[in-house]
Amino acid sequence: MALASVAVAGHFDELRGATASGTGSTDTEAADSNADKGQLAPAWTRFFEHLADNTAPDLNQRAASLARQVRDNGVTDSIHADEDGLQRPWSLDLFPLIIEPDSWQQIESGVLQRVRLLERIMADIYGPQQLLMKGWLPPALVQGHPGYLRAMHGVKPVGGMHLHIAAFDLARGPDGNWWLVGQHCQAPSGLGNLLENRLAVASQFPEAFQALRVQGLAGTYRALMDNLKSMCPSGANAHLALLTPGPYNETYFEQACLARHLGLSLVEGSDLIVRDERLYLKTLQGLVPVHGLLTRVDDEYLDPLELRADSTLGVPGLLQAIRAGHVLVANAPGSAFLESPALLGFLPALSRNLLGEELQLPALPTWWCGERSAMEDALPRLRDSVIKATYPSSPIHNSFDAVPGCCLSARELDEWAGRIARQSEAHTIQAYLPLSQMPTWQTAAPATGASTAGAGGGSAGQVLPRSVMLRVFVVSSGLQSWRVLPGGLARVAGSTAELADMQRVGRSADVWALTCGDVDQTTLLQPDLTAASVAQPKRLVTSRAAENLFWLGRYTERTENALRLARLTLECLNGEEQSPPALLAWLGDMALANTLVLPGVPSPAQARRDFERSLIASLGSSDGATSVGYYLRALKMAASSVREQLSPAHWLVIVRAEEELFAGCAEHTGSGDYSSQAALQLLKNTSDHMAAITGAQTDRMTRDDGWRLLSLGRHIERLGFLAGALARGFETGSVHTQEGFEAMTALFDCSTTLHAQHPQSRGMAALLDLLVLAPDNPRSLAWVARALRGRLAELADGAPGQLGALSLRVPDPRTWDLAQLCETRPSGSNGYFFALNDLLLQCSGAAIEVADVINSTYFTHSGEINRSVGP
Amino acid sequence: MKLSVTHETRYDYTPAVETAQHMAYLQPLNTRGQRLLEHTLQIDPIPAQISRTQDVFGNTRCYFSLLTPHTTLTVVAHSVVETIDSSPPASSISWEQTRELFRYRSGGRFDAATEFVFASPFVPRHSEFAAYARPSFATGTGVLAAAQDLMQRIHSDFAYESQSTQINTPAIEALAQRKGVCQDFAHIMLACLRAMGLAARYVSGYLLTQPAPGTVKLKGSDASHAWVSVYVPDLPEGARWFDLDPTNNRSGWHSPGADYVTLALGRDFSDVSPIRGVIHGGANHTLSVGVTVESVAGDYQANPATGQTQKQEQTQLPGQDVTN
Repeated sequence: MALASVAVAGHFDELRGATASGTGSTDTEAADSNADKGQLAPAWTRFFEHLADNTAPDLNQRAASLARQVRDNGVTDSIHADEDGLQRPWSLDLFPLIIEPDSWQQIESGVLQRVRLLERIMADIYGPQQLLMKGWLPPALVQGHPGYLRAMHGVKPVGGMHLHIAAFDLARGPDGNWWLVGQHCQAPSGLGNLLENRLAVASQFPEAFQALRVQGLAGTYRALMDNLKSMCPSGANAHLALLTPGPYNETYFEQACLARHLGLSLVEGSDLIVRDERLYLKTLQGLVPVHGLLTRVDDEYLDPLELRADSTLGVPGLLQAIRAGHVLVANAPGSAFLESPALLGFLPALSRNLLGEELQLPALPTWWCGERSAMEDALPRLRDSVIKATYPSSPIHNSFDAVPGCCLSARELDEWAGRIARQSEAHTIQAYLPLSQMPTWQTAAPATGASTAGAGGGSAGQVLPRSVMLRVFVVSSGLQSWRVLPGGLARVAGSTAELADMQRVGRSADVWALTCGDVDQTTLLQPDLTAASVAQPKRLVTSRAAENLFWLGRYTERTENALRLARLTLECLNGEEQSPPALLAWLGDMALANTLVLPGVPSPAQARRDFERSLIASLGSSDGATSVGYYLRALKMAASSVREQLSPAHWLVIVRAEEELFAGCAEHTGSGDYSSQAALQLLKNTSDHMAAITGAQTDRMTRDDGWRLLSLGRHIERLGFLAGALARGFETGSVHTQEGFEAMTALFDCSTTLHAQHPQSRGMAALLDLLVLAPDNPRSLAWVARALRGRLAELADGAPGQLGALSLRVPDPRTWDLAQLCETRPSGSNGYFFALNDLLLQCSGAAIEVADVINSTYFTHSGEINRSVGP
Repeated sequence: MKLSVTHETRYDYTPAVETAQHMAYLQPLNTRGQRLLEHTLQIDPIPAQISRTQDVFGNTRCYFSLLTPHTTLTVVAHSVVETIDSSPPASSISWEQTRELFRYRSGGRFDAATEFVFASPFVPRHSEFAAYARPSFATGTGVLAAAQDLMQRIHSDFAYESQSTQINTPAIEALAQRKGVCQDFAHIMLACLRAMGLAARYVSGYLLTQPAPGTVKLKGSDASHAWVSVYVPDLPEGARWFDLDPTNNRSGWHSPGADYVTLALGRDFSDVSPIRGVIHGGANHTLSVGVTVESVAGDYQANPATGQTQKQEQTQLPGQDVTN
């Protein structure tokens, strides 16, 4: 492409398949490599040929579409979550990194050989330790590494192997060859993002994807799952789970996504329990055995009984269960020492000694300074090397971020040399390699773009070369056999700068491994759905997910109620007619009871404007008053803990609702604008979002027990809120005024119905018929009570406990009678509706009681935390 | 000398603990300096499950789980050991020669003691420790002499103050404030020895106190005690560890003295914590520990039948196979 600039001199140019000798702009010297002549590598030529239209506007459109897809899928940035915990969208480049078949074969056989070697090392270190005794591996890199777990010594892992997933970081040097830079065995991340990247990028270039013969990923994921199951004692029916550190972890999204694609239960440590040296999942239906665990929790956090006592992410007794041979853990705990860069220098000799083979895929030359001769070799090369910590992020060692020698001044280099000499074991020196650069699509920034257009992106844009590192994954597919996932995660530097910058502001790209053979057509869908497999028991609902779903329901309804009440209040206060005192009293009471204003705020009857201002100020405050914003935020928190169970669209609308409300509130209060019109406009917007959220809840969720709890949560809140509203309406006399009557029907969502069914009528009988008894108004008390009883009965079917009995505690609408409810005892001008009042008290009481019983019956064990007790 | 040790640990919880799992290191080792004659471990309430295994250092660890609600847990370890006095060993190897032994050379000789040269969770690397240690390590000083000098300096420079530190007070902090308890002194001394490139391990155990008239009652009595052991490569094979107790300025081959009982060995406290656990429920807990060490009359005979109740767990005696 004419638009593409050439890679920086000395870097391999992926687009042109050759090393650049000069930068197009600054170095005009003639050169005869492809890179400088602008000819594209064959694969890239074909890639661009298959774009029907590869003009800048078209590519901009694809980039915009890709960005939208990534955002809508809710893909968040694993590595670069903001400090305040807000997750940025995952940054994905439009172009894939394309790897030709011969190149890929080299990578594949190279990393397969390496994972075999690493497994041999694990087996030896956790067994006879011949490698130490023979002096082939320094004890400092094993016994001196915090990742070596003594508690696992002598343990034969279930299934007979330690490593099921390993990730290798590779870089292509100026010679066009791939070099190993590092390896990850302890809970390597990226398998989820990789899948999402593939789905998103392949759909932007369907023709090129087909034509280039890109190898499929699904077969390898499937092989891993099949292998893990076959290695569990219970075989093909084994229950596998993915252990996640939880939604606050920066890679939670990709863990959820991986669990979803692989059909694993996504569990947190507190969801699991060890009994009799066996592992169980706490579910709504009781304890369910877990046979295999894919863990994304770092080893030292896995078991607070034996490892870090302060860990809340692990499962006490897990190591005991592993030692007993009752649970397969992938990878077997204790592999973190393999990740030290210092190990790389010892692998070539170990490969000769253990495998009798030369390593096929070379690692960058690496010197561990704890060996004196290596340190003496390495010190003179500091300027052309990267200085790495032997024990990265170890709290008991001098640890630091990798430092490229070329960035250091002469004095700094001397200082480093001094530190290295003093603490030689803690330092590892690795040769510096100029990374290859891949094409990335850069949409012109609107500020600088000469011809920016509106939607669909401007017409400007260019292909820019960016440094890239490739992470490939190896997964187990049988006893001592592995497969390489054909693809990977390309990590792309944000600017022309390299490594250091890549950690902080990096982006990712899909990786297309091309094949000359057949393209694997496996999908991650179940292949042969037999009647038996379809009729499998219903999906497990963990106690934690159940609790979060219950609260998601409660907070959804509370948000909805607060929202209706706030809108109604603002409308009444700003109506054309003066609101009667009884209505104002009712609104004031309701606002206080539902904490839309702080206690002590004057009632609307006393100081209408102060009240209104306070109500508006509280909308977006998440401390003090618990108004719409507070509940919306709580809703989002509950939802984030069960995100994997929500449709992406559902989650997205929750995020937007919260963002827009808080942004709007901040804007108004920031400028001192407390106008009710602006607030109403904002609430209208939130209301629209809530309609989408409640719609997704009713229409886009599987009706399992988790959903029933969500629904219960909503009905409990609704029953309590409406009963309270009605009781206060009678107490204040508001319902006996015309405006109050209408406000009440508006709150119950049935103004229209009322006018249709009972034109002209403002009688209490018509009101109670509609708000209390109507069988088809989802906001009548009868409807809510009936739904609540129904849900409780359904839940009682599948869950242990006394829920069936509990449903009887909710007043039975079949016994309610309009005439009786309309009976009054003389009191004041309107009479005292004693039967109604009794019923409302019963309803409010039932709401509280049901919530309490559900809490204590189902959630106590997940709500209680584990505590370490020491001496 | 025959010594009897009763180590009682009691947890009181409010509200009740629903389930709990514990790991105990309460069974004394057999070493060159002592022979374990009897050991029982009483756990109340009776655990749902109990299993004993050897850890990587040869200590016996006992895992037990409780599945019924309980407001109190008591663990009573009772042991009888026979200890021997050892004559001081002759060693001439310098600390530099000792340090060289642990230096890695490709294909070179491996010494199993190397494991105790490295930093460990309670004994991180820090230049302050090297600075404190250096005066004891003049060029050519024997490793034994240097270690003993270091022990004496810690003994005289540091104030023993119970409650002055917590179990997780970093050694570097105790070094700075020049006070602590036996465990801090052990960790500081380990950090110093390792900073000089030597292999040193943590020893947990007990000390018999004999408040004879006119003598000062030794610290560390009637409580768990801790000291260190340094590797001296020119001692006879299999007997190269020399024990030093910086708290009491006592040292000796195999143990600081016949009035010491060795419980367990590790890199630091984290490897051999006498008892740790994870409980579910029981928001508040109080812990009380009582240790009694007594000298037993010379013709002591192990009598497993005495004083045992149904709650008692008779463990394997030394020499028998440990099976689970």
